[in-house]
Amino acid sequence: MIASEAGFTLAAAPYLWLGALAVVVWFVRRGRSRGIEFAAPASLASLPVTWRARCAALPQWLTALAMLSLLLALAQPVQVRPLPPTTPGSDLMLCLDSSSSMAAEDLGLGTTRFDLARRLAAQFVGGRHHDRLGVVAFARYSDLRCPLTGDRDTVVRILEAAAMVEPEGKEDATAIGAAVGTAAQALVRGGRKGRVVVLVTDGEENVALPGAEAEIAPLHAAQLCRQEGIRVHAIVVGAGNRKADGRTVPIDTTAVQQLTRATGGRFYTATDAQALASVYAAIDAMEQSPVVPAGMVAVGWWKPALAVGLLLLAAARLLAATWLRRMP
Amino acid sequence: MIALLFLDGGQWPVLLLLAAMVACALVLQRRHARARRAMLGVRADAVAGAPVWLRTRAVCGALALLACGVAWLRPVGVGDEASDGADVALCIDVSWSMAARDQQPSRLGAVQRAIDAFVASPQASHTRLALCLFAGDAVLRVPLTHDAAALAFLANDLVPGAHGLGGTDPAAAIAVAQRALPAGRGAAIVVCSDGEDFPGNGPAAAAAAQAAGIAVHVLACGDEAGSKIPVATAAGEVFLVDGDGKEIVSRCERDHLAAIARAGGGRVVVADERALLDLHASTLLPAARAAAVRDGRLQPVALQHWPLCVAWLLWMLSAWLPERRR
Repeated sequence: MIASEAGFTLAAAPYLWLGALAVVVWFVRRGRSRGIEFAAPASLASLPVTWRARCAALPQWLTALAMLSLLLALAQPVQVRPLPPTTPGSDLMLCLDSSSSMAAEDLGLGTTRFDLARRLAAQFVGGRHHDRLGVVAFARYSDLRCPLTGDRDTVVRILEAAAMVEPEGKEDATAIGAAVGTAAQALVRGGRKGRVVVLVTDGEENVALPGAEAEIAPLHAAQLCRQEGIRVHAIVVGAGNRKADGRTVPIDTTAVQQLTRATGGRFYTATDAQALASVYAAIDAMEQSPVVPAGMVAVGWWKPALAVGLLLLAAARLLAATWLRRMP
Repeated sequence: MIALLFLDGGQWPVLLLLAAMVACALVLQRRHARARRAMLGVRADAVAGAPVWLRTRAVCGALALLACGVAWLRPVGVGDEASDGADVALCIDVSWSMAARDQQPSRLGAVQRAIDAFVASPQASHTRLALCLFAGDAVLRVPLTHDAAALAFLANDLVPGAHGLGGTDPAAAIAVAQRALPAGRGAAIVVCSDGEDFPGNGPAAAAAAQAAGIAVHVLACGDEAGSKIPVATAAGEVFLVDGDGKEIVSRCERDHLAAIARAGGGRVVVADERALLDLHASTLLPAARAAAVRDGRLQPVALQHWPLCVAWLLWMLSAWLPERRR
């Protein structure tokens, strides 16, 4: 490959060797007689030299230049330019607890934990321009509401459409391990290197309890995530959970903390709306993808060379057949 | 396998220009021969030598120009290993008529099998899919995603009559799918339906999508003989009836589906197990790759040097052949 400082390169320079064939053909043609045998050539010297006579060899020169242009087109001249840097982005799954306890209005602003969590999650999603995002809503069962996608508007719409499960219903429980497992599976299918789960919950795992062997405990989900290089950041919302007798007991976050620690993620608690917003902001700042150079792009210039070659050839043939016509 | 694409195929009038050049060259050659005869008379060949290889040189020149024309259209090869796949929005009709059993296990079941077969194939790995459901209205259930397995899982959960308003409005689905797809990337919409179209504006919506650079294809469900529509009730399975109490027989409206595909610049394929696989391999993927190559997202193997090389050799041969023999 032949390169110039201006970024021009011949991508297929070996084709220039075909030029040797042209030299051979030129030698062969040179040896052939083209004229008419004439008895007194000296008498022609006294004839006036016109422009036509001066340009007699022009078609041959134009043809030679045309062949040179074609040879250049064959050698594929390209201009190599750097591309602007890009951000590869990460894959990020939001796991949103939709159990009925998320209906508590203890974060301020007169709204439920669930509404506030999904509203702020929607804002968070809106700022993740380079990432693919997905949503898992969970209570007793985890539900992949949205697989990984770059369509942020639809993710926001899905978050807005999410609803809590019926209080005291069949599905009113908290299966954190299963939710993280579902999110991890979706991330593994995504195939990117940067993989993050953001878990938003207000509760304790109450499905994968000791003895429930068919369920996925948070620690088992943590093992899966660690194995696949997935970080889990957890946000526990609310000051505590209200019991039937009216007492408020603090949330046992031991399992969730272990989950985040095991996967290299961070654990946050948010007891009011402002704290929750700042936690989302902290995760947003922490999970910024690096800017990487995007490489180079080659712009081909062989077509102009071919166009010039064809035009020169047409001009040569036209001149040779009209103004500069030679006999015989 | 390497697919051959012509990136500048739209510049085909250049071939006409080159043909005109060949025609001009032939006319000029004849004029030259006439002038030669007029100047040198009947003994022209004896004086200046008889022209030889005339026809061969003319054919070589014409073929060389044709080869240049082919090179001008920028032939490229795109291998199977290319990482950029197609963007496809599947619009699945989930109206009651899709429960009809003129296909096994049902019309909707046939679509689900086609999706399963596609997702299980290696072809799905680079394809981004979106899922749009429609009956009387339409909703984007899954935005464009690489996670085909998740999409297939959600598609398999669908049952006829489970979504939105009654009726069938493919135009609404095409509009929703169009918004979910990036314009100008060779994206496609595949409408999986039996062809009922109550508002009747499916072809117009398909034409709008086509104008935006998105092709609309159709997976036709059911047959033209039709079938009753089974509905599961607490009392067991019954057939859906109209306002007069008559059992409804739903038929595949192939003409209307063909009109949608025609307006959308797409094809109609019968919704069997291989339908999506075949449509993807024959139409969706080549279109997506051509768009990716045009946008510079995919670096193809340039092949223009082959016709250029042929042109060069033909011109060299033409120059090497003697023009006259004394």
